[in-house]
Amino acid sequence: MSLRTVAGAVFRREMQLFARRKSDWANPIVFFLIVCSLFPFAVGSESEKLKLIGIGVIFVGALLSAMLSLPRLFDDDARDGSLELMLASSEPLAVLILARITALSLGLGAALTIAAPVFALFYALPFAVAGMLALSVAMAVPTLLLIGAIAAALLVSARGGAILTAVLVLPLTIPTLIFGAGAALKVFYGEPPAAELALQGAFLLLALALCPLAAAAALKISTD
Amino acid sequence: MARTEQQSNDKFAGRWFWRYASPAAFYPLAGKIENVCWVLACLLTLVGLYVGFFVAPTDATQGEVYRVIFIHVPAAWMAMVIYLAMAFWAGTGLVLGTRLSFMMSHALAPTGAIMAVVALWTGALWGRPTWGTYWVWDARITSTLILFFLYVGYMALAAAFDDKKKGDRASALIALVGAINVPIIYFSVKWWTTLHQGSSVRPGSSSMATTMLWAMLIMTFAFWAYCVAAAMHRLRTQIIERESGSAWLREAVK
Amino acid sequence: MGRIQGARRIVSLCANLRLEALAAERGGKAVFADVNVDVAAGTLLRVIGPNGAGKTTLLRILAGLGAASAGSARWCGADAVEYRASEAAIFAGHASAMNDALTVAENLSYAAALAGFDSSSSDVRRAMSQLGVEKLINRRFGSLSQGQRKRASLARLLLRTQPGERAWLLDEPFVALDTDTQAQLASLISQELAAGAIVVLTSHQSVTINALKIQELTL
Repeated sequence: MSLRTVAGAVFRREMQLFARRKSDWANPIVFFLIVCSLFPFAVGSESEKLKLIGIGVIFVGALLSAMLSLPRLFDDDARDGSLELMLASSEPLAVLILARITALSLGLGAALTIAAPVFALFYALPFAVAGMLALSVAMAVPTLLLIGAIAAALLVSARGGAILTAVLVLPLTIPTLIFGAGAALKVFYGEPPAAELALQGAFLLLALALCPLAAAAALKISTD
Repeated sequence: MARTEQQSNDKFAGRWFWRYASPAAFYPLAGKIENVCWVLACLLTLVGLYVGFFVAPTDATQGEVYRVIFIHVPAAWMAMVIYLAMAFWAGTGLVLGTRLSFMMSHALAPTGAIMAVVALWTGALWGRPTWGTYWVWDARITSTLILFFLYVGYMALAAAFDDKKKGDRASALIALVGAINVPIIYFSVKWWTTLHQGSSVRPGSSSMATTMLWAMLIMTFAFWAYCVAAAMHRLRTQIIERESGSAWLREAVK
Repeated sequence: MGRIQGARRIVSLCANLRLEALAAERGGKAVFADVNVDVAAGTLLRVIGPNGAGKTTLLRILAGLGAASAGSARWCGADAVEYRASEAAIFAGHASAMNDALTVAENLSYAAALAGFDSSSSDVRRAMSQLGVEKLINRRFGSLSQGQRKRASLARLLLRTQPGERAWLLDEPFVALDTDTQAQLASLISQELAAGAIVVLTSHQSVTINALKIQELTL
């Protein structure tokens, strides 16, 4: 058995679960939609005003709804005992965790990436901005899931998991938020977004390199 | 590779630095450090505030209000330094498995959080007359706010586990993750906005009057002394709490 | 890669377990200390002790899922944590290790893959038919009755290339099983022992298991 087959099995299972339990991706989208539709009630419905806040609202909404999906990375498996299969595997845990996050990023990331530009139209944003938002969200969701996996792994057995996950994860996503929303803002003001995109890509790569290792260490700590 | 405390003990027993890894050995030393630092903190604060409030000249542009920097700046520095120290001890604890390292980390966190709050609070008090508003989303204030969030997350995580050992290691890991992120967050936020006045304390080329600089330096040492004293005090409390029931402790607190 | 795998396979067939001065703690409190046992191939090791004596903790250490606070647990001379114990043993705890939303077959082939076995669907079918629950193979685990769940999750133990290849670490395996299934599991354990495996068992129930070598460990 090579690492590739084992990681493949983890990935495939996550995808099967994603296809089986529709609520896993439907609920985050509905939550996302509701968050986005709350703001006009709070700030007023003039399209000029909405345009200005739209990018930020959509980006934060996408991050929040991705964050709500974090507990499902490990919690269900911890409850039914299948987490132990992964922990006891002879293949490196970090790679198996990465396989899971990749699957979740593809599933949930795709759903949010499609939703974000649609919701951009609610805020009267031009198509170019909506497109850039989609790209930004597509890059930000994996970054958030990677960082969030550390907190999710630590809190597998702790009380108050959901809210504490938010407290731990959200401050760490601020750089992604700055440059993700920043890229769309640049397009909004008619400037090239290359620098923001490059930095966002750099964060994603850094998270890819470090977070699975930290999440593996975290999982060992919390399940020991 | 992470060790247990026992394994580390087998490896390092007898080395000079290992002696004080034992709570029993460090407890009395921590008491001495604490006492010295309390005295230092009081004296330095008195001198520093006197120089800062009565000797240093009034600022040409900001008037009297600038004097809050003698508290604001050292507090902001300490908030950052303490986070690094906390992450350092957290890392040491994870690698060597020494329980005193985790206690040290826990002892530092509340002081660091308080320093962040003091920096933000005094910043707001300074901002109102200077900028006309209590809060500005500028790079350094925002970074300090995020630093405060990281402290809160660390403390909340440490408290979330019934098993103290698990809480120790979990919070240590998040402290390290935070430490890697602090510079990234700092530069991101700096990029995001560059509203703040440039850092005015630079070694060599300072734009401050000499007495102002002296007041700042003395206050910085005062804050250091206070933070060390507070951390040592908290560390001793932790040791008493965690080692309660051990023979050496009954002997020590008799 | 091929060479290393070959080396691993030799190790995994070597069945020998040695606990030396093993101690564990939970929440800073010692659970057990100074456990010394030497277990040879084909031995049934019964772990006995009252609730809270650390039976599950011991099994988890043997499975490489938890760390000992002192001493060592070695499979074939290699530490249970450093050397991933899953190469030597299969752990079956209180939980089923099966996801409700997936079919039995999907669950089992996932478990087999993570345990390091190339499991085709025919292997899964064979394991299920050995337990007499072949017809459940494409049912969702969540739709099964309690008894069916128990049997289906036992099939995980049989997903190995050959009998006796891995040690079995069974935590209260007879709980909530009907008498038929208990007898069936007991005979499966005997077969596995006869094939040279080590079986470590915690149980409050007195189920008779035929074994040539039985050791008891009281915690």
